[in-house]
Amino acid sequence: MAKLRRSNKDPRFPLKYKGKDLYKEDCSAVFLTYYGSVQSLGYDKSVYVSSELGRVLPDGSWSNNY
Amino acid sequence: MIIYSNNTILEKVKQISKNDNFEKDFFYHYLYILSHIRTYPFYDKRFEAEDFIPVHMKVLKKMISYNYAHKFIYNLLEAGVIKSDNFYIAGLKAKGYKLTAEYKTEKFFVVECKDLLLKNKIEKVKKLQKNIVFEESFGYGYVTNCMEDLVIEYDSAVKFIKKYIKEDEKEESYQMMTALFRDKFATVDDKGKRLHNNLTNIAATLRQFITYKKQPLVQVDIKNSQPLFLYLLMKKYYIDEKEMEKYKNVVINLGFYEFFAEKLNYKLTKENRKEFKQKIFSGVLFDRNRKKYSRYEVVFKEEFPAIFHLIREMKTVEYEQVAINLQKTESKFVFYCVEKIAKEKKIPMLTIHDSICTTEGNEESVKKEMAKQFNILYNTFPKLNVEKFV
Repeated sequence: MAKLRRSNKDPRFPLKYKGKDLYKEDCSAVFLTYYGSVQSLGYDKSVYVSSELGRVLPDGSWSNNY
Repeated sequence: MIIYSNNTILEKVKQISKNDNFEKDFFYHYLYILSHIRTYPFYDKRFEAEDFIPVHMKVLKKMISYNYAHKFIYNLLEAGVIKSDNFYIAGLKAKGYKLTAEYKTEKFFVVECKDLLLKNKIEKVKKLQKNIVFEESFGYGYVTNCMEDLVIEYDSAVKFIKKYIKEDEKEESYQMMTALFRDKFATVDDKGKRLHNNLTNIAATLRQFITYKKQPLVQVDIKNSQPLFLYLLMKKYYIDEKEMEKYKNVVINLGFYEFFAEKLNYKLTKENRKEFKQKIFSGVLFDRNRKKYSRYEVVFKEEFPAIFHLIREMKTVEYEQVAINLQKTESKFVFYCVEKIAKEKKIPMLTIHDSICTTEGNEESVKKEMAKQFNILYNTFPKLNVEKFV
């Protein structure tokens, strides 16, 4: 219930990543800045930053093989 | 409208629809529900294939049948095709459903919906969703219209996936991206105003199989786009002119990341270039403010003190705000260019956030207009690269 209440505040969360439910506070700053909506997520949960940098994952690592 | 199914499901649903005591044949209605459950994680990637997928009964009633939606779900549960988490909270969480093991293991493929009434109903609802994108601006609408003529060479893409994608889960995602490419979606995120659609979400390695009316595509992208849009954003604030000129020179002429590599005595090679750029980017621009500066921040502060302090200041209020403003500046510029070009020449144009894609032969028109607008709007001449979809 607590988790549901938290997720209700921001429709982008919880986000399932590597088998875990992630909330805003669990994600890296760079990821959060580019995570505009659920449609911005890629199949590996990465979000697009730019054409030359590629996509960043919730834990802050970069998805270099998207 | 696309239905994604497999032979086991098709066989079972035939039986269910035959014995459900309805006068009408609801074969495709059942298939649509199952397809929705199966493909939902593709459209809403917060979810994974193993998750219970929320099915909002109100939406389902609107989409397929007001009177029988409940009964369809009940029949699928009874037949053991789906199972439920039996957990809902009014206004917060809808009951979740997923396919049972027996029905999800076999290979899925696209099935044509032959129930025209159902097809029209669903397409009408989807069209209403897309209208929100058209209302955003002419540029967003133009790109969304062009998306309709984008095709993926299915057989070649599948061959490629089979040959090069070895991890099971990844292979499944790639297969689904390819199969569902025909089902065009489009949304604009409220934060950065970026347009998301099948092209922006497809894996970059699959873009080589995408064509526009059989013509190959190229993309025009902006070198150092994020540092450049940061410069454009900073122009709105009072910052020492000399420092702004220096930053502009670094971004446009020297290369933002190359400049940092030199200052940090870091030798850039083909292998480490991208990783270095990513480190600089997250280490300087978009990490949370920390008491102890990273070595990248130390250099940035030394070279561009006013810009550095302004970014820190902006991040203190809400650290996401800097990047959100960058994305807004980027989207505004990209769609403004699309609009300008489209009003002169009706060439195909698609966008991948900070780049504009077009068919081969039209890249110079796009490049020329982007350069022109950078000059008119911001008095800058950034480098624009043209790349094929490979």
